[in-house]
Amino acid sequence: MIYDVNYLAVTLFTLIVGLTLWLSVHLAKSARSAAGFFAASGGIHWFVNGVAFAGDYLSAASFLGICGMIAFYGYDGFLYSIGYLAGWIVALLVIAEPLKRRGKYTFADALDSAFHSSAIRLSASISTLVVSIFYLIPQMVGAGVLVQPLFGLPHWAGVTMVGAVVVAIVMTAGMVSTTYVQFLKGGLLVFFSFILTGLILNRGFVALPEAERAARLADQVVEKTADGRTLINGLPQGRGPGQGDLRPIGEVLRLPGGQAATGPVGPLEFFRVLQGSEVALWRAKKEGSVTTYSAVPTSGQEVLRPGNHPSLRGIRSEKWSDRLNFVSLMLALFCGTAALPHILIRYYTVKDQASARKSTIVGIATIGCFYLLTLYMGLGAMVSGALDVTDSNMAAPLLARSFSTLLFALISAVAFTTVLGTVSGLIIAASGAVAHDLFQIVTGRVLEDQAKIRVAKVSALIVGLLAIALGIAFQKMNVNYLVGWAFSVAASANLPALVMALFWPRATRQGITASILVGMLTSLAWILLSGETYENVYGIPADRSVIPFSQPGIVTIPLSFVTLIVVSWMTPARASGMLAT
Amino acid sequence: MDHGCNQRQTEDPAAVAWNQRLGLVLFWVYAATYGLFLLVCVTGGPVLQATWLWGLSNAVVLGFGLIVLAIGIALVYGLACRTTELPGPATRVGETATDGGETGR
Repeated sequence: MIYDVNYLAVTLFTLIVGLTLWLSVHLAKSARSAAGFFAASGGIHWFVNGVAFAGDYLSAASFLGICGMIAFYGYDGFLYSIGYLAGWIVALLVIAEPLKRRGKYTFADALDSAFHSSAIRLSASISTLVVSIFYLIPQMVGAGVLVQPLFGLPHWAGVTMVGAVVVAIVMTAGMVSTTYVQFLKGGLLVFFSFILTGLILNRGFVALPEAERAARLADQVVEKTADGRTLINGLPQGRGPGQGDLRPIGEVLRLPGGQAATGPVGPLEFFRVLQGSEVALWRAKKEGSVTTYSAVPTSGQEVLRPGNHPSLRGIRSEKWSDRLNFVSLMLALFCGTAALPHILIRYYTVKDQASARKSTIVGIATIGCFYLLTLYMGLGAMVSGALDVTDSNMAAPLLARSFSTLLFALISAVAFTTVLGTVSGLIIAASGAVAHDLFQIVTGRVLEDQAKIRVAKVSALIVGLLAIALGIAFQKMNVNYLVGWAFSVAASANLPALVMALFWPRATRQGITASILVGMLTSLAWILLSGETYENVYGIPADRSVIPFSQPGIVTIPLSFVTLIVVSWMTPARASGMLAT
Repeated sequence: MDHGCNQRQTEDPAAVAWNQRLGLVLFWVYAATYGLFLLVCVTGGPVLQATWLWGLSNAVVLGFGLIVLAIGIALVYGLACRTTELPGPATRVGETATDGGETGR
């Protein structure tokens, strides 16, 4: 779809970027020590930290990816909302307080606090880098997706702009500025999600008039020619004479009782009406360079049932491996949150364990409210008549545009801060792992505070450049799907080591190290050899993969636990145990 | 802007143990509920489509229920937790060479 440049959105976007950069410069003096740069000196108020948790966690995947998945496939996207929030229960009830008690700047601190082992630090820092980079890819893809309609710029330009702004934020004031950017973003995101949901309920449902059906539901054909041009329904893409463009989609075909429109609906009535309706879901069929998008009439009951998205179709399959794939994904989401390095380091930005606990509760309440709203926003987008059939990631901003240009500008700006907040958290986690752990182990040099900050800033720059390159390379993938990978690697590599190091006195440094390495390598290998990666990344038919299902968690998380236990039993015990108390 | 200091304080072992036990009990309650939801998803497709409470499909009720339960459990945990920090000398993060309480190898 061709998008017009929206100057209001550009202005808001520029204001937000200006505000975040001003904040970073203003707060730079707070980040002159390593404690200030990496952990904001533990001086963040628990409420601010709690909302910043939401800002850190509610990434492009949550906002753009989940809304897009629900808008195109129904309930399936909501399964991610459920899984993402469930992971916070592990973080609050199992990890938060002992991690805060044991750590200082990075999650490797907590892992290593009883062992003083460079092998643990090395493996934990490598795992941090791998998880952070996996998580960065979808954020950068999301940035590119947003900038296209805002500026009319290509995808790579958006990715590069976000990379540059975030590196500037992190390099200027580290965790202090990152925290306030995330606080701002978390608050704005939840606030505008409530506004958007209110507008969806107020608009209700409108059925597509019979007279417009033929025109609105006709197939849309996109062809990429050998000379790089795009043809839409046989015409060159454009808005001039003799040119064509894609139509926006998102139609209600039939409402209960044959109504033409419902008028405003209540929060529960919204679902009841949808259940009794019929909507058009669009499906793509690709043959060579030609992709045909066709409307498929689908009942509301079907929309509100899991198993429509290709990656979750296994829920309804008779094959055990397909069902295991779904369980494996949900297990990774459950276990992954409490193992994400950029989330874990936020426990060090508050002063004590009670603050860590309270900020997690604020985070859960904020994040939970947002996830409840994702089902309204996604389904609202599904029937908004405003979607781009080629790009599910644009569902939320385009839903906002169906109400007003101002709301579109605001939501786009908020979505952009979403990317800024999460990417800055990831880059600071990665740079902390390099400066605080990896660099000192590899070079054998113990860095002073200022040197550590310099190394962290250079690392932030390098990770930022890498993120830009990967964000461009993975342009076409659904951001939510990519985040699933990051969760699988984090849950397999980090969670078993963290839980056992904190709670099992018999864990040894060899066991912890082996667990991280086995969890990381097996989950990575599983993902890279899976059918979904074959098809979506390598362009090879999925059935040529030797891996029985694509999500590794159900195999690699237990494998990592078993490795830790076996290796620990095979190696000498610690002189005295360390429990989480 | 004062960003204070990250403090390590002496803790009450009984309060720490209480919080830990409570956390684990609530964790297993939620984990079991989450596991049941997954079981229903993979074995009971028609069950999810059926309507039960408020005329809503079970998929919507269960999904919303899990999110609300997570928020509820977090609030219960927050209210029932005991204060672990005892009044006493505190150390600033960044000043200590090692973390307190661990056994070196």
